[in-house]
Amino acid sequence: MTSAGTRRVLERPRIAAQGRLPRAILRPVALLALGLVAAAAAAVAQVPYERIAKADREPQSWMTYSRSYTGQRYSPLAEVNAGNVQNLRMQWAYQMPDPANETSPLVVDGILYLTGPSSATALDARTGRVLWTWKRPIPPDFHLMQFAAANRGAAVLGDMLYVGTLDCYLVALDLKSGAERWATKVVDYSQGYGMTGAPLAIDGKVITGVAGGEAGIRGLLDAYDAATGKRLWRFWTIPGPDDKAAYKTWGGDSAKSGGGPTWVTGAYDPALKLIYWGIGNPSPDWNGDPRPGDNLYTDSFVALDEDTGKMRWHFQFTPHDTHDWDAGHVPVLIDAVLKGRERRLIVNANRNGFYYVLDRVTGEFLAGQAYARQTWAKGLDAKGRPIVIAATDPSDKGTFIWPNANGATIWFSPSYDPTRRWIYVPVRTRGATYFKRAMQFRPGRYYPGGGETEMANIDVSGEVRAMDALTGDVKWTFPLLSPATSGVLSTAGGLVFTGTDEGDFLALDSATGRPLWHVGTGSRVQSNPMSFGIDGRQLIAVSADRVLFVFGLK
Amino acid sequence: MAAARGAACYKSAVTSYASQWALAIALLAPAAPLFAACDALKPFAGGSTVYTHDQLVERGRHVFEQNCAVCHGMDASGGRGPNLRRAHIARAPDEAALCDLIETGIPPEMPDGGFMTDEDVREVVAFVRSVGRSAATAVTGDAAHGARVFAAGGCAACHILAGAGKGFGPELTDLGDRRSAAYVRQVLLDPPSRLPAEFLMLRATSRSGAAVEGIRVNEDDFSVQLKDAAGNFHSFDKAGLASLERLEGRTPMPSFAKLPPADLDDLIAFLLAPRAAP
Repeated sequence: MTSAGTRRVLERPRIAAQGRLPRAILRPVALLALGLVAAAAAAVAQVPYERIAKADREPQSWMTYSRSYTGQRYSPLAEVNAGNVQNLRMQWAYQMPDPANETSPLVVDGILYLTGPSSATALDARTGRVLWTWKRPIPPDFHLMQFAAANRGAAVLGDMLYVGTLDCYLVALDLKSGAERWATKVVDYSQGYGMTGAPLAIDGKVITGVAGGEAGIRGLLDAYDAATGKRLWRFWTIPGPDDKAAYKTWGGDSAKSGGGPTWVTGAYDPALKLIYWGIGNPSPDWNGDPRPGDNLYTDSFVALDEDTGKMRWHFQFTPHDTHDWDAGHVPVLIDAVLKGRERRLIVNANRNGFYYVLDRVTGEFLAGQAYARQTWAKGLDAKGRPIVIAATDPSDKGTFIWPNANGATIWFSPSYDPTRRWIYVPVRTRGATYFKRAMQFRPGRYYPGGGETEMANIDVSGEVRAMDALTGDVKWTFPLLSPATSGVLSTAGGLVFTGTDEGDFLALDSATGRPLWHVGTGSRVQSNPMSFGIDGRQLIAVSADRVLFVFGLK
Repeated sequence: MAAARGAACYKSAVTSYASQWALAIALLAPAAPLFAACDALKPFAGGSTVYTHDQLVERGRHVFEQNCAVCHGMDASGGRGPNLRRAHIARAPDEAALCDLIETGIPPEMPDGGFMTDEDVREVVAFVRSVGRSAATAVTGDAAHGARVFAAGGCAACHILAGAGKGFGPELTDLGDRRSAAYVRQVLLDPPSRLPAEFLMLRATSRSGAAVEGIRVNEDDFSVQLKDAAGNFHSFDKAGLASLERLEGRTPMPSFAKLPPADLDDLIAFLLAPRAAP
């Protein structure tokens, strides 16, 4: 297993360049050698794309948001297992400057990178000691139109760390010093945009989305040149008149304030050269009257060509959504035999309460069923479109249905265990009374068009649900006292890690859901756990409020 | 509407200068208030129309529904953000503090209201202040006699009022700010009919058969803490219990339905009487 040693290896060529040659010829040769070393250093970056693409070759690393481009959030590390997880102990903790963190760290070559709102920090992954920090000031006229000034993580590629900022800059930081290489303005934050998600770095490109679905933004997904920060393409999640078919799904000129944010990191299939991304809710959230039609491409997964940003296919989970059931989810990519042949699949437990299995080459719906309590649809038709029950829209006097606006699950990650072909989903069980209100759109201001009232006494709970990933059939459930607030990590050690609203961080047996270990963190856990290796040992990290906790054996 | 407000959220950055000036002004003119109220509360700030209080509250309801209900619920009873239907908001005990809080937000979870106009802020302050207050109702009883009914009824065995009593049940000192006479009457006559959302009595029985009954203080997937009638806390690991019964609808509060009607009126008058905390 590599550790801090890798960094020393990387330093070595410079020392080797000092030769035993006579002084007279040393200078030009040394200059030449230095030039070669510099060229070599440029050619052999610390984290070339191939390292990330072949993430399974170095299970001790965690080099992209969900560890691999598949979105699976599965660790092949197995040192910590059902037999010894009872011995997990805190190894170190790091106190972050901002509260209520949702960040999920990266670990590369012995260094852990974590983010806060418009900030990033490099820590020694063995001890948690700070190596460098970077912060971009939040402009005085920035007004948060999101629910939290969060940041969910960074991307790494080459010799740079890529971070999105609240004021909508994509920033490239030098991995070794935290110094800024470039900062590119993605979009004007005064129109209600923000950036809270982890970018996705692929070969030579950095993909980033935006938040702002409560402010009537026009959603977008951008690709930037990883070396220069130059924009390569932009995909508008809300069509313009040039995309006639999609534009027609917005009555009048409602597309202008259509929403469709892209705030949760997507997945990538290098063989198909397709990027998969979840698109958020239409605006206004709770009032569909001003925007008759299906409102494409809100509440959808889209597949985009990595070179052009052109859409290959889309699949809309919730046409004409009026409940804020944003498809801001990590798409999970799976290869399996289904309906008689080997297929490339994309699966999703959606905020609307249904689980979907799609073909990721074509976007075709293959299977799906409800996985959580929902009272708005009878089921899915043959094409995966919900069969909506009448009178479930928000109303002037309020309409009570399940789930509430936070959905049956939300942005935090599910985890897919390839050894079992099971997916573990954190589930929220909570209904709400939804209201509709007439509202005038004003750029850069809230545009909810209603809201909800939650009923505390009516079955408020949650669960971790293990399902057959190809069908959505339940394998086990672990009940949570409150709706889930945290993502899930599964490991080759046969464990599922997650956190709870009450502040526990816990390990379940991935075969049975039996709880094996837990610890109180002192705060609601609202982040995604991850795992990495150092000095041959497996560690598990999770953030809770202001603290990043790192656990390991002994 | 007036133009959008300036950078109210960045007050903290100039605090040191502001407080120096405030100190200087206070020294020069000791009669002036040390800290001015939030700008939006100043007369005619950001608007020229004068509204009655009821009009302000009604206008504030619309502002609230469009800007705040996303987190605090359409009726301010909470959602992603906390329930505001309470007499005392800890972070904003008075109008000026509430106004400041709306303008500055609570980073990172509550956005600043810097994009709201002065009118918006003034109206929403009026609305939020109104939702925690119960409608004034005529209380006919004799509060002085009610104090004797309170003592004779043993209420202080469970409740603290104006610094005296035991802290098993909710404190009653500021009950008049929070509850209507009709509500208090219903609780006294039929306590289980008005249990708060999170209230639950539990009976925890150990493997040895010993049982502890009390009010749930905390619960997670693995442990539970409860408070018994003597006010003592107990903490149990669920795995170590023979049983954990959820006594839905149960409350230690007895019914006072058998009190003579005049005594009940007097007790209510006493409970709702305005009083300062000790």
